[in-house]
Amino acid sequence: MTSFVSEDNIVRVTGRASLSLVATLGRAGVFFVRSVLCVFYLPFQWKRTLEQIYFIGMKSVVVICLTGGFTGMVLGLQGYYTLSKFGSEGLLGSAVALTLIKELGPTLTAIMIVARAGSAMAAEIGIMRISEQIDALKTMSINPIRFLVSPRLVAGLVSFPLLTALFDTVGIFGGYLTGSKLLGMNSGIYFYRVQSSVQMSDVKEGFIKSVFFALIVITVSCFHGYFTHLRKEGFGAKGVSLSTTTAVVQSCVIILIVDYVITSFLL
Amino acid sequence: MDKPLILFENVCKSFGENQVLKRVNLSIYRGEITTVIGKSGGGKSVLLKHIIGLVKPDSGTIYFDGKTLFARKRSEQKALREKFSYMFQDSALFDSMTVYDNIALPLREGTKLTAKQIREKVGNRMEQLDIAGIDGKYPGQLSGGMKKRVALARALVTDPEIVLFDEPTTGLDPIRKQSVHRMISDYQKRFGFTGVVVSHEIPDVFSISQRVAMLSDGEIIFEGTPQEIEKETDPRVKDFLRPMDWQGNGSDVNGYY
Repeated sequence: MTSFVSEDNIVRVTGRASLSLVATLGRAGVFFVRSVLCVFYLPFQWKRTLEQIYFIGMKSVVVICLTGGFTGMVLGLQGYYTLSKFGSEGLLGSAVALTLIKELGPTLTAIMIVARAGSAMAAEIGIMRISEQIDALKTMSINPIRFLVSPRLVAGLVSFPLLTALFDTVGIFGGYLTGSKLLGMNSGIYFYRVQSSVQMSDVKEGFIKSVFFALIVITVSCFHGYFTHLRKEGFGAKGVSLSTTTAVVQSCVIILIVDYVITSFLL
Repeated sequence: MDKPLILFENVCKSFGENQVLKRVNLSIYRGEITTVIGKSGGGKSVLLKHIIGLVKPDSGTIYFDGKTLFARKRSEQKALREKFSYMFQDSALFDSMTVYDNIALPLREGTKLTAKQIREKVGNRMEQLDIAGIDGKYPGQLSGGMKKRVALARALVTDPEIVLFDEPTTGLDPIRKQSVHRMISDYQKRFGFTGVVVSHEIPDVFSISQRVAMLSDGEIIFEGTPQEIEKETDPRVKDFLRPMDWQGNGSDVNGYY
């Protein structure tokens, strides 16, 4: 009898979890579509979009330069020692540039923006939700998704590729610093390899990824903030903290999964 | 009597196991201030949120001007919502915006007024509510009473046709309380808006109300004029109004309004 009851419970719990997952996915899908549609509602929200570009893009420049620089430097170090075992240290420029442009640039940029701006977005919108500020927008006939999410979406689409490009560039110079300045490799060979191995298709691949990552990060972060009040695990400040954590973790995991999927399609 | 502007017909609303509204029937008339009184946590704010569409009823119907509130086209609902203004219990000010931006927001987003016209309108409202000079401050830097007045200024800046006040004077000192009541009453007389006020400030709020409704255990147990509530024999109404008799002169609400 006990085992029957527990089996019954398992079915119930699984069913409830599945229904909840389907409902959340549906809600997220509708949220995303509405956010995209609201971008095209006139008048275009220039001021709010520029503010968000400043917040997501401009304010991330330092952290992107730091991570890009050190990623490139460590790639230069590791790459040089590995390639020198096969007598191919001349290929360091190609290895650093391609790794950064195709893979690490868009992925690490997106993860850094999640940490810096995604968490802030989820927390800000979550607090607006629990303090009835989103309801206040509705009572003023202001579409909250258009007001809060759409400018962030456009700002993300502008900022992510630009920050990725910055990350790649700084990273390539980081590789040059360790490979050439520290380990004594010829700098001409380093940059010749960078130039000769990187194709436009590689750059395009990196940008395609960064566009997808922008959509993921903004949607997931704003979604969790916007629906903070529906969380069953915690309300108020605890709900906001859980929304922020979930937004960051989910964004990072989805970025890595989507990275794999896009890479497998584009290879 | 005229046809009600807003009519609740058997409206029920539950949150999980908790049934907040049980077959609520209520009439709100055009150009009048209707005050909804009742115990704290009794569902008054939920009732108010139904009017503006922030909460939808589980069953029952709400009519606006004879037409169902929720069975309208999206564009009609939007146009209808533009006639409303809502003052939240906890003010719901945008804490990352300055006081000026808070009050100006509904004008910037919902009208085609120029920046100069918006500045004039906002300035006027701020002066009328005795909050001039705090334009650049953020809500977090204001006292509770100041926040209330900023919220009130934001609610009235669009000259709405229907204003919903959710406890507009809670947390204010007696002088400010009187001034807010007087202001609601003056504006109502001047612009003729329809007001619904949720309040605990009895009997003060009766002085500005043409009608009073009392919500108890999820139902409207009284609906009438402030004079009629005085004569009401329902013990639930009498019990609720009894604290007003604290002066011990044996009178009911007589003379308060």
